[in-house]
Amino acid sequence: MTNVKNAPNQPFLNTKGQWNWEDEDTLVDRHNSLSNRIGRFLRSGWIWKTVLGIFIIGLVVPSVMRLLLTVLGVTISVGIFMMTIVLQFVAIFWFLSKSRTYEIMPGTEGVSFADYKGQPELLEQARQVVTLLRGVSTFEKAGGEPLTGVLLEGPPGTGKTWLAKAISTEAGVPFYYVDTSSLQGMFMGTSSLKVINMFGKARKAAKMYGAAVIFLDEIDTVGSRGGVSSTGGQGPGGGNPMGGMGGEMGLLSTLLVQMDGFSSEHGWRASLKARFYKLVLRRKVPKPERRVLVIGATNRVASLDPALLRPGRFDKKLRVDPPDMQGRVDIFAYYLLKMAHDESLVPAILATETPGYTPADIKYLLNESLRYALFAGRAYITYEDFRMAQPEHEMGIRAPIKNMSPEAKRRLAYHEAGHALAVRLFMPHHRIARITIIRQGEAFGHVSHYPAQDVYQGMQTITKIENRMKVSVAGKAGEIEFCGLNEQTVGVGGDFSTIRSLLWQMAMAGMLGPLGGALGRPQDVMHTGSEGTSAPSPEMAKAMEEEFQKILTECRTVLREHKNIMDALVNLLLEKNEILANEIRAFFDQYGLHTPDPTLLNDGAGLVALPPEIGEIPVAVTDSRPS
Amino acid sequence: MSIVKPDANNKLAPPRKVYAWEREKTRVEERQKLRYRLQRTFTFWRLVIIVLVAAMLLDASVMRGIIGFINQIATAILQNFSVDFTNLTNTLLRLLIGITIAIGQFALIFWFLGNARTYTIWPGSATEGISFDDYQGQPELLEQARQIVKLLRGVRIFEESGGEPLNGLLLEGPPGTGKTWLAKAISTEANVPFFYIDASSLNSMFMGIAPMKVSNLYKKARAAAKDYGAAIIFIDEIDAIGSRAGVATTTQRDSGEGFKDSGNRLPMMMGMGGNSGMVSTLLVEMDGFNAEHGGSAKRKAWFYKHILGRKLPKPTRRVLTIGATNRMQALDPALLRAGRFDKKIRVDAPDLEGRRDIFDYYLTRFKHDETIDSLILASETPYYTPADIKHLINEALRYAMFDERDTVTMNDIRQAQPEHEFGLRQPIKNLAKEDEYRLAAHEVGHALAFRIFRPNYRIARITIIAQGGAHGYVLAYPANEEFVTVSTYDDLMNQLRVSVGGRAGELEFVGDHAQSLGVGTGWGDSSDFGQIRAALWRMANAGMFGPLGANLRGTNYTPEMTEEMENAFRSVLEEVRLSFRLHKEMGEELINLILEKKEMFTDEVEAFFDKYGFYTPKVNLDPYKKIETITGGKTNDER
Repeated sequence: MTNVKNAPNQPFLNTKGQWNWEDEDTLVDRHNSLSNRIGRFLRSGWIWKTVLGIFIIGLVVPSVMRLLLTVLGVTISVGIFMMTIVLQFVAIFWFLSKSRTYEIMPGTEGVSFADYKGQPELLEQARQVVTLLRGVSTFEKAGGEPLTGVLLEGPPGTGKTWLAKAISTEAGVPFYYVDTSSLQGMFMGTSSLKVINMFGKARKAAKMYGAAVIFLDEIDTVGSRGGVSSTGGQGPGGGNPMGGMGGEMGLLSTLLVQMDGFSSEHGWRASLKARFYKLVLRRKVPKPERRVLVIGATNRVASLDPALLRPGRFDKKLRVDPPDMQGRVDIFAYYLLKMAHDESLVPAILATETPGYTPADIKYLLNESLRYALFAGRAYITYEDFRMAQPEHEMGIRAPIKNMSPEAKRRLAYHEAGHALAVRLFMPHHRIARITIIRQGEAFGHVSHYPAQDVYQGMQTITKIENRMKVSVAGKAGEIEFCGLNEQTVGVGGDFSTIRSLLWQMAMAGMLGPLGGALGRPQDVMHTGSEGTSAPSPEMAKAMEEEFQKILTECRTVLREHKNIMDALVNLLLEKNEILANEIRAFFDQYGLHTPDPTLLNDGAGLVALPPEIGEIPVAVTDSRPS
Repeated sequence: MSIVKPDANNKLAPPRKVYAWEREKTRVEERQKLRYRLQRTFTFWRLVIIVLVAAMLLDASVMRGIIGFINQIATAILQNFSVDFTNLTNTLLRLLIGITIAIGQFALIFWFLGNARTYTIWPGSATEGISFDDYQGQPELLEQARQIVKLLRGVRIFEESGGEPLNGLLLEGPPGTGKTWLAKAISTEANVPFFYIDASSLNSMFMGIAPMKVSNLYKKARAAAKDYGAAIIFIDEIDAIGSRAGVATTTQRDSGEGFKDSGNRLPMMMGMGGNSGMVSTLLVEMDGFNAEHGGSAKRKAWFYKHILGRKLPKPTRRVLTIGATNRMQALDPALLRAGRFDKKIRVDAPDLEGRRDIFDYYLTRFKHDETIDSLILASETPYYTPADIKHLINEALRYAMFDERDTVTMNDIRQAQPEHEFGLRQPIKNLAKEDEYRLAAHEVGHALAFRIFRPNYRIARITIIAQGGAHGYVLAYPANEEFVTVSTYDDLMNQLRVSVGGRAGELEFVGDHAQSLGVGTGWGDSSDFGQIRAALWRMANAGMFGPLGANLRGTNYTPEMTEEMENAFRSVLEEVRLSFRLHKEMGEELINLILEKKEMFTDEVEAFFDKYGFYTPKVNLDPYKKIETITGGKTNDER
């Protein structure tokens, strides 16, 4: 106590358990005294108050009124001239702050939920979000708040925009479709202005109609970190947010603030309202309504700013993936309703043959099929048309080689027959849709085979992977076994890249030994692991090599044992050049190798419906290296 | 061959369920009322025009009046401009008007450009009404904010003792942790004018405008501070302007998505745009010669010196600048020094107790039943931010609504949580029986490993229903809060054992042929092996496998280290397999149970393991007490 300097009086706890200085008036409190308040009142807007005062005086004294009117006249005349000049600026700013927005007002007919096929779970989510957006009072009384943002992410073509369209129709509220690239402004600051205008418009509409939806397509163009698209090198200076004069900088933060910030009511109007509620109605001011749902769509969610992804902004992230088999069945059924076709087009079969297809792919494929049909003199699609159109979509146009030598053709036939037989032997749950030795795109021949059930990456066991490798290596095995070692071709690029990537996956998943595959830093894995072309450690490479030799040997042995089937298939292939599903099925049925039924199997009934697995195939261990 | 004709009307939509509450009138429907429609059609100006036109048509005198008014204006203009040039007065007037127009034009442009978009909240009008009572979860942080606000309001004794209120406060932390929310609470509690600025609006089109905006803003705030005693400026997303070179930088992203170029110092603006100088203006405004100056200051000083005979009082700079950012490293260091942003408060995701308080807070606003235990929920939501928690309960309510209830139950939250974390639940429709068995074995492996090797964890859920990218998963949470940086060797080894449990389950309960790719092939992702690789690397780096760790060679890791890591992995796998062999019947019973139920929750899992003597711990929050605040729990006084 003795050494304390400059101390006015020491703080003590008073009887209420507070520091005694806590009861004192603070500076702010002192500023709230009556004189201060009057001063504040007079100071704020003194011009208007003076004018009003003069006007009131003018009501009594005519000469003052006359003076006032003269001043008013001059002010107006000057004002009008000013206006013409200001107007051009206003026009420029108005023009700059416009984003290309397509406004869809409720009542416009469009895509509805009934038109959205393929992903029932997703649809159900969208339906719930829309229902609650419309303002269900039970929901809000129970404390719920409608969502502020939904982010649709997924690969291109999976129907994100389509879903948004459906949402807009179903919600029955104003819908603003914004092309995000149009948000980028010519000058600094205009892009932020655009965003604000857009939200202002939507909020106004929400006040009128109860709710509104803003749809930001390809949101990654504006939502990336730093306000640039992460493609890198696109903008001047490689990701420099400020290339030259344009300016989308600040766009992102404006978006962030508009989606969840202090964008509620403010200024004197809010102040007035608060006073009205407090003094007149004697209750709390109701929360400002934020009933604008922002839907974003992107296929690069990783490049978005994390601040955008947090709840409160984009609350909900819906992943839109390519549909599964049931989904594809529905999509095919939906599109087939709109297209003339005959009964050979069964949605279930089509769905099995189009794994990984998006709705956009499916629509395009059916459209292409119709083209084939029309140029074959029919006005409806058949399965044949579909079979023609699909490889063209996947591989490129068909370009038969007119003068291939008989030996080369025979070798090619053995290659493809090897693949086909291996599919039948090792992957009995696959259906073969086509064996061909007609060149299509870059492939000289190919075998298209599809699983009768959906296949999931994580469900691949070591047995299944080995079987897949056997099918891939069977082309080479066929060439070696039936044409001779010296007749091996280099036309195995695609086959071998599949094998390499499968081997890589096996090693990484610790299947080739008790080791965990590559250990180490992410950088090391990324460098060596791209497409599985090289292994990170010598031990792992050795294990992969051994695995490959084992597979090749087994495959050769099995093909050798089924020489009769191979020869028959090759002859058939050389005769017809191309064999399609039913013929293939009939051919293999002769040998007791049955093809699974392509109808959709539910609830794991699959294994029962399929023919029994090929049992243990006796493997004669021969020298692993062709000599 | 029958040809199916196109039929657009034949929609394949199944009849869908209609809930009782769906028949209620929604807000959108309410707005369809005639009143609102009229409002929409007849806006104010339209109404005025309509009334005028109607009046003109009805009464000739009104028409005459309006035409007369227009005439009057027209003559006034003509009088001013069709002037005799010989008349000096008129020439001067004309000149004056010309100059006024020229200046006025610029004034208007600059007024237009120079105004930042500010949301001003005057005392007593905070519509959102968020007070310190609404800020839950981080009592220490709240206490800091409370003290700062208190002192900002000008405590006499504090200032007489020589203290100065805070100049700047920087809130930093990951998105969603409640920085803006805290600022809102401060604005309500401080009860002084509050200027909210979106930092991006300070960017401007021309050189020199941005600094002008900043100084305008501060001028406004100081004027308000003079009136009200104090004022607060809140600059949200301050990294948009306060970055090192005045522009936002692309920082290295966590996800490693190829954001390698972190050009820390970007070139200043070329061409015409201009934020250059904005940071320096901000610096000067926050701490510089912003005191009174010029003639009035001189007069004032003279007045104090000669008339009052005492020292000039210090100018009261009672403007608190609060900045919020989630990228502090991008800020200019000059901003961060004391005197500008004196105080840096890190707003992090709340801890266990904080989460419990936040759950309690939000649950008071949501209709819910007594099945919900906020403490258990808090233990099952590690790293959740307040925004996450609010969203979670909101989503749970959505689930309840579409189950014909308006009360949130624990079950709804359990539905909503994995959806928030992983994505949509999309059951695989045609999963083969043997694949399902293998999947169940995998998940049971994880669950057993948790119970055997990490007894302090509570298993919240075992499921084999596909959700997001996962075909099945086990969720388990520690009964006491755990922190990554204080994990010990044992913790990490046990973590490895749990991660490898899935593979061990496949091997032990199904067979060697059942090893699947479900363990993942990546590095550091959420898959089992990705986690194992990352954990092994972390351990090696922390020198747990040998004295040196890995950083001796910058680009690569040593073969010895790899070998050690592989040895560790091998021993862990063997250990787990052995223990599974010992508990084979327990595992198989659990597999069958899972195959039957598809999904098991805390209670069921606990009951199952209790049978075998593997007990689940209770959530522990000890010492269980609220943190005492210095002010004796008092929230806000003087109103």
